[in-house]
Amino acid sequence: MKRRHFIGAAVASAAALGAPMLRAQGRPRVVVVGGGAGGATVARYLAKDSAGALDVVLVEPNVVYSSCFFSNLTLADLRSPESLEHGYDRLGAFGITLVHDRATGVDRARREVTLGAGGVLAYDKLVLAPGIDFVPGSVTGWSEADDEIFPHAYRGGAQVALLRAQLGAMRPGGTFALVAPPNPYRCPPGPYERVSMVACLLSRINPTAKVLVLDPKPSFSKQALFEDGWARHYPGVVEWIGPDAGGAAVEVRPGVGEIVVAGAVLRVDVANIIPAQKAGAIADAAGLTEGGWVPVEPLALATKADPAVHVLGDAAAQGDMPKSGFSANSQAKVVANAIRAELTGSRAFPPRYANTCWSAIAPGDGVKVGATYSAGEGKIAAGAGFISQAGEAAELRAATYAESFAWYDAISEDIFG
Amino acid sequence: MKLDQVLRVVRACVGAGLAAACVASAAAAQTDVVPPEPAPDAPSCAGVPLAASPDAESPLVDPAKDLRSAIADGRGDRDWGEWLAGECLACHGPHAVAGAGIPPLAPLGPMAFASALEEYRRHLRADPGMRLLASRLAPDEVAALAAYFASLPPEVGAGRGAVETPEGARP
Repeated sequence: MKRRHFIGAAVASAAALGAPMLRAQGRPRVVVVGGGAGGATVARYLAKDSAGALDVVLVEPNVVYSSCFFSNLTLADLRSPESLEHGYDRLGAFGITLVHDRATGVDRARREVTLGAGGVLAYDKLVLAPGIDFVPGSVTGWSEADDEIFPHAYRGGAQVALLRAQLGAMRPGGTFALVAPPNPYRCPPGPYERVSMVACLLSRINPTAKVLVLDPKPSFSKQALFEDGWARHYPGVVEWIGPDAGGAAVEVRPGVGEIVVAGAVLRVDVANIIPAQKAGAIADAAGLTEGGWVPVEPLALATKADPAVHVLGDAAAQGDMPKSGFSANSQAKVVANAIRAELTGSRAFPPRYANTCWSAIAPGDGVKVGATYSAGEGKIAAGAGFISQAGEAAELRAATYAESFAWYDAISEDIFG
Repeated sequence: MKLDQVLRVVRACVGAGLAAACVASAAAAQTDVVPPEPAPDAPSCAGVPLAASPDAESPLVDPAKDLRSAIADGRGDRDWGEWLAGECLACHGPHAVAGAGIPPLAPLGPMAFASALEEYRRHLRADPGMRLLASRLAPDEVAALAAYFASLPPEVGAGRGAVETPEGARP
């Protein structure tokens, strides 16, 4: 017999928890798994807009969210780690029930989520926003057990702080190496913004240090902008090694501080390994992944395998949108509108999506890329877009940089209340 | 270390089959590069004040006549506008009062709001993101958005949007 997880008086009866289809008298329940940019936004918009008509439960193991977006800026001390931390208390004010536990399984036939503490949560609709996990073995010689030596620093928080500390302690003239991930992965410009911020820090505290990028991809997001910025701000510091020069098949040796590139052993002082990625584990546990990601319909990100389950944000294979906090926030609003309409009869509006990714190349030198998206044939399809240009006026770059800070504050409030 | 240096080391090591020597020679290649002088316009990498948005100027053009009358007559669909506004709030904030760097929406009246979108649509304002979003909005969507923002309580935005320096920035 399963132990029930009681989350509040309103849902404390066995019938309410275990048999959603029989709960004609109760409010429909939406369980949201994952309290990041996608999950917290969908929970907030569901609760805010339904004004009590829906029972919204947010399952998130952490009590504090440290955003991955903007975390690169902490590496150059342009942002404090504390300024990227967000609590969930304000979401509670919208009537959302917070369950600080890890979802470990989904019984889609019974419409139940299993929790790490042993309880279950019944749902009428389930939204999974689990973010990313790393593909084991994708970087030869590295596993997550090595992340205290060679951090990935790709989920924000403590790993990023560790990388900052390692950079601060690096020997004068040392080498920092970043192993970039293959497509698709979270935040396409992220590794290259990170390179910029590391070079920025080192130019201040360790000006003879070197930055090496080992990349399995022949090209990368905002490449012309980053390469132009590296040449202007950090001349001679950053070297990018693409797949033609051995960047695709590296072997890392965390125990001895080495990386093997095309058969040559390079000694590295600090290394940041960003492995290949896949949807967060709960997506696999729910039996929803194909090739590591979850295929979803473009109209409201319902999974192609189960219309009662929506998957959004980084975990979704939705089409053309980049995996970003902005994309997840945009998708979450579409999902919330569609679920609320389905469960409460509220108005359903046509979906529309947008994304913008800002990147800091140096303090006061920001660039951005963005596009609109719409529900196309079988996928979310890109519409028109824009990207910053090399050679733009310094004033424009400064404005773009400032804009990114304003965006961070705005979207944080849009996500967490 | 220049890419050609890496490749030279790599090729030499692979060709000689001397893994142990590679460690030494690659390390040497990493340390014998003379650090360049900073470029004259290089940043300090120690923080800079945030700039104001170049698009915060006053309106220049009016929206189309049909849209003007729809707004003036209050015919905008507020609930549709609330849905559409989700796209605005991702950058302008849930109270439409973003801080320095993104112009606030809250102080704009419905007509000024529609004018600003028209100026983006006609590329009279610079921001490429707003040009894109504005050009996707149909007139009835602009009217809906204007109706929604007009419905927000007037006290929203008071005391917000002050110029701030980046948190954690070091002098």
